[in-house]
Amino acid sequence: MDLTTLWFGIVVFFWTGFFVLEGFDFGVGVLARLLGRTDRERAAYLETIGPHWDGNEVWLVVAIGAMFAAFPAWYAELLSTSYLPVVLALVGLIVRGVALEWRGKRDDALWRRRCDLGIALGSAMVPLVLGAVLVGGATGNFAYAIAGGVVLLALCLVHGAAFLALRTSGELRARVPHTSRDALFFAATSVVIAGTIVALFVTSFPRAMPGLAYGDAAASPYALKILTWIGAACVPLVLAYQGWSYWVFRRRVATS
Amino acid sequence: MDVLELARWQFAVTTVYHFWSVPISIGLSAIVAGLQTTWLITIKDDYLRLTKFFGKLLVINFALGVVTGLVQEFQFGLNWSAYSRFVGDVFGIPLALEGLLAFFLESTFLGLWIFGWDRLPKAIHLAAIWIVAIGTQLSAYVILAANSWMQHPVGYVIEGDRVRLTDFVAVLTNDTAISAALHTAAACFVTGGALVAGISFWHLARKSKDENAFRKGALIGSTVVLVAALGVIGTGDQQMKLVAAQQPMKLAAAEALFHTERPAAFSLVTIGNLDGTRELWSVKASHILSFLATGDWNAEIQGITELQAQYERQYGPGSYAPNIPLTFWSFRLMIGFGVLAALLAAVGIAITLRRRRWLTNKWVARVALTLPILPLLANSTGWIFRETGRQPWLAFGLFKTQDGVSPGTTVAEVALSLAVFTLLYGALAIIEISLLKRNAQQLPPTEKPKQDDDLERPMTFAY
Repeated sequence: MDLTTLWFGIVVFFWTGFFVLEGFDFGVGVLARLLGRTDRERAAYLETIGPHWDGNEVWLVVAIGAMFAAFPAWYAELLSTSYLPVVLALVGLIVRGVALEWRGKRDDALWRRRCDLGIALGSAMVPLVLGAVLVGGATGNFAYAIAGGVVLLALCLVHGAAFLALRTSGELRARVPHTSRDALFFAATSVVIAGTIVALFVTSFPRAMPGLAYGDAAASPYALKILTWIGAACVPLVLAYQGWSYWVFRRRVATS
Repeated sequence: MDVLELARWQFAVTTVYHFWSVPISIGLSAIVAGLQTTWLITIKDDYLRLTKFFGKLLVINFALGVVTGLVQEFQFGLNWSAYSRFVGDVFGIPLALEGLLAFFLESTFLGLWIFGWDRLPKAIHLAAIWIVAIGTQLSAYVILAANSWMQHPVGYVIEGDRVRLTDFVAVLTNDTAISAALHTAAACFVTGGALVAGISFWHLARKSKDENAFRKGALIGSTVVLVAALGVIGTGDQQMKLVAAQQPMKLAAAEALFHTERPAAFSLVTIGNLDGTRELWSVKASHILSFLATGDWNAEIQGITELQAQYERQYGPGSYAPNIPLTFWSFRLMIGFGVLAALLAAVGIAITLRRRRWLTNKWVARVALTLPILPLLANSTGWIFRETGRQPWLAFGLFKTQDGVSPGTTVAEVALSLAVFTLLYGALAIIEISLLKRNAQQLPPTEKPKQDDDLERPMTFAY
């Protein structure tokens, strides 16, 4: 396999990782507001993603950074032609990020309700818009783009429910749509999201965008070689310590 | 305004803003790690309480650095796609490396630190905050390597209409990058130290209950400021020599040196004519510029007029001088704000150790709150100097700013996003400052971390 194809695969891997991991964060961000009846319940739902969401979001940064490094023309073309939707997604990410981190920094019920609203709106907006950008970028079709955003948001909500079922207990868990086999349910929604993202990229391969092939968008062989060494050194390490952090916080969250 | 001007404003607004929170995170994470280490070694409760007190401020501030950093990652593609295409082969790798190497570390281990107080063994919990601090340094280094390539391109060839990377090690070991990284790291410690010192002095002045803890905070913060300020001066001197060799026009603009001089005098104040092409009045110290820029008291320093003529011969017609008043004054303000912060820290140490009763003077409370602001102003003016002094180039000698904007974007798109980011960032600044103030005014927490893990303990958001 040549390096261009390898880096196509790695960029897809980063995007997939982002949507599988941050996907349940998005879902939890919306569901916490819908399902949590009291401030304490909403805080407990959010605590399931508390230690992880920021690290999960880095998968997006890395996906974008890897696109820039491995396929500069794709990065330049996709972002500059999806200008306003990308700005909208950034606004969503900003609002939800500070709302999550600042929620508990003021002992004030109104303040927390506003933060919860910011978390929910931002969490819904980002998959909706990014789904539309990716599908729109690959197909160049507006209707497909909108459908892609809606489908991705729906998947994130189901995925978030599966995550909450896996990570909460008692009354909190009872309120979330769940099955008797939490881990299996969560594995299933993960596979569905991963499959959707991979399919999105693979079906349009070798075209990155209409009129732009990956081969023409790629960086030089030397740059891709350097990038490959960096990826080989960093990615296994990242997977190991992120995996460990999930292990550290494996205990189910409860309110009482 | 056209797309170019709006895109430049957007980059300026979002980047200066991003670099208010980032130096606080870099400096403060290391100081918090140091406090926690001191607690574990001395077992003195004050250090644990200071760790938690400043750790909370760190977390509030870190969030803002993270979310505004996202915009930076996308902005090259949104507004500067022509530049991204030109430079992608060199420029993308540091950005990818920054995410893979630094951001993953910072975010994952900050999560472990925030939520891990009663889940992780003490040594591992301590390691988590140190890893965050190291991650912030790695991130700064890599992104400064990318920026330094724009100041002083190395390790590349031009192939057709774009740059091709030939030597990534050269990009990472660019002398400009090493010097800039040391200078920036030192400035970040000044920033973090000034925050710790300023808040501690404020509490001392207000006779807060926790005098012992805050006296420690005041001394630690001020000492960090002083030591780091020495580092800033040393690396600043080194930077000036590199600028003299690599970007002589930036040096000439910083000094408003309109004509070549041998030896060259350092300008304390220069007033030029309105379009910045001629000197009207100045106060100068002879020989000093020659010495600062080269180490030789009698060296020749090229002036703006001569460099302009030389660049026209080299690169064709056009203006090759940056905005002179902006470059001249941002350079001086950077130095002024930095020196003032160091002086205040020195005075603070002196009165804490020798004239403790002066600490409760009402002026201490007022001055203490300006201390954390001074390094922020020095950081901003320093970056404005570095970036505007590089104009009209995006990558020095290779690619002009005017050629870098995205070809397809419209004035409406860029104007709208500029307005959205400016308003959003403004609102977030107000909230961040009120949160920092609210939490800084409280006393450090007194409860000890839970030793045993209670399965049924009420879950509060651990932030």
